[in-house]
Amino acid sequence: MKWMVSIGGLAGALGGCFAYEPGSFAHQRNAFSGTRTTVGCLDLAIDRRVDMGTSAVLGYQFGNRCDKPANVDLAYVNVIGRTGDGVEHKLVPYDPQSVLMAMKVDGRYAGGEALAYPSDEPLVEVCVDAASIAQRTPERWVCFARIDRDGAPFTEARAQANPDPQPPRVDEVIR
Amino acid sequence: MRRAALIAFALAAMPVETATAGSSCNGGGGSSGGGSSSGGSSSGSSSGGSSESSSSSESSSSSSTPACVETTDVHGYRECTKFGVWGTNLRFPSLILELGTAVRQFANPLGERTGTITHGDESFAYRVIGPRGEAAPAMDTALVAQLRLGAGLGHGFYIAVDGEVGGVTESAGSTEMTSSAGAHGSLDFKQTTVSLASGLGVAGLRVKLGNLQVGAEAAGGFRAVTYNYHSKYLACEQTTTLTAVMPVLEARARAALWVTPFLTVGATAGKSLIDDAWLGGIYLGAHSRTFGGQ
Repeated sequence: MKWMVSIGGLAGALGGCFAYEPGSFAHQRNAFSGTRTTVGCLDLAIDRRVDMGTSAVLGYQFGNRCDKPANVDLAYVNVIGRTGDGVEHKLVPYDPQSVLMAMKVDGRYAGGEALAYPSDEPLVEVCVDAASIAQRTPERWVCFARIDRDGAPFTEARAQANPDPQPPRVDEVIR
Repeated sequence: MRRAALIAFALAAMPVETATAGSSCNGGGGSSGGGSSSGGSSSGSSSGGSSESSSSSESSSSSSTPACVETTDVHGYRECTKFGVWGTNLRFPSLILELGTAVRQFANPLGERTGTITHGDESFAYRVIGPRGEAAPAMDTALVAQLRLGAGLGHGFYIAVDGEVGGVTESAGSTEMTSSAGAHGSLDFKQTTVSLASGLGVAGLRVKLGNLQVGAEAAGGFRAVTYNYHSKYLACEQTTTLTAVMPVLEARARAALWVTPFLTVGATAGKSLIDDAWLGGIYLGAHSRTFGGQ
């Protein structure tokens, strides 16, 4: 079965459709939505999605700019959540089968994952150290406000059907 | 191990003959290699094979299960896709799939063969003669389609299995009847088509130089060349087949251009290490890893 996957990959390669163009933040199989940044060989797009209950959900898209495989560490990426009362929590991704691990993405190749970060309370802000995805330093923090189902910034007022309050969304913070 | 290889080569160099299929007359058949029964079983198994394949496709369609449908792509909640499918290609050796076409010239392996063809109650002896006696043996020229499955071993080394099939466009052999005419006249006996099939093991070394990949390799295996003859006596027509198996050992040089990080277009040229045979061809290659994992 695994060999069939590889042969399928070869067939796809025959179409030449797998290659990632450095800096393009575009790939046939991955939509690079969200905040974009480049760390080492990785072009990264990180997006906060609508929460699943009290779990924050982050979408990660990455494309390898280099010709050699590059590290993608979504298991130990530094993610911090901030609750409404300002308390910060280090977040750990939901991984019921413990299969998350640091992997490599092939050169000029792209991939993506969406991870949920459980929390006891709703998180008004989630920050990701994008550099830690590539196992690089220094830290490069990208922060996201909580968003509503329509993609707008989430507020308690909107949650209670107040149609229009629009606090500014925090898109990117470099600390 | 070396002795076994030598024995295998020696056996391969021995010609194998089969004869006669598709007879339209009673009692027809060839004397060499039990051609009549061989041809009959061949066509029978071929039709059986096709009916088996159709029945298996029916069973697979009837037992198919509904495709897994994701309701979310979030890890831990999704059900169909495992974590890290984007890294799957790195878990396996760098695989190579190539499709190509080539022109080959090789020494006619036919030698001299004799046999008989039976049409009704009458038997006719024939002789098929390959080129002989000349200082440089006449060559058969063939156009072949090639398929390669290979794997990288690291440090630029790779192994592969090559298969090729094709048709001989120019054959140097000739035929003649060695028996006198039958009661109802002479037998019309002539060569029609010549086909070949090869299976080769390959080991080589490749180097990436910018957008180019160059390499050298050695290939060894066997080639089966099948000569088809048509005989006609009155209304009775038969096809006779002679197959010669020959060893192949050749050195090749290859050069390819990386048109994408996963796709190459290249050319190859080779020379036999046994005789004056040569090869020239072009190919399209797909690779499971970026730039073949180099």
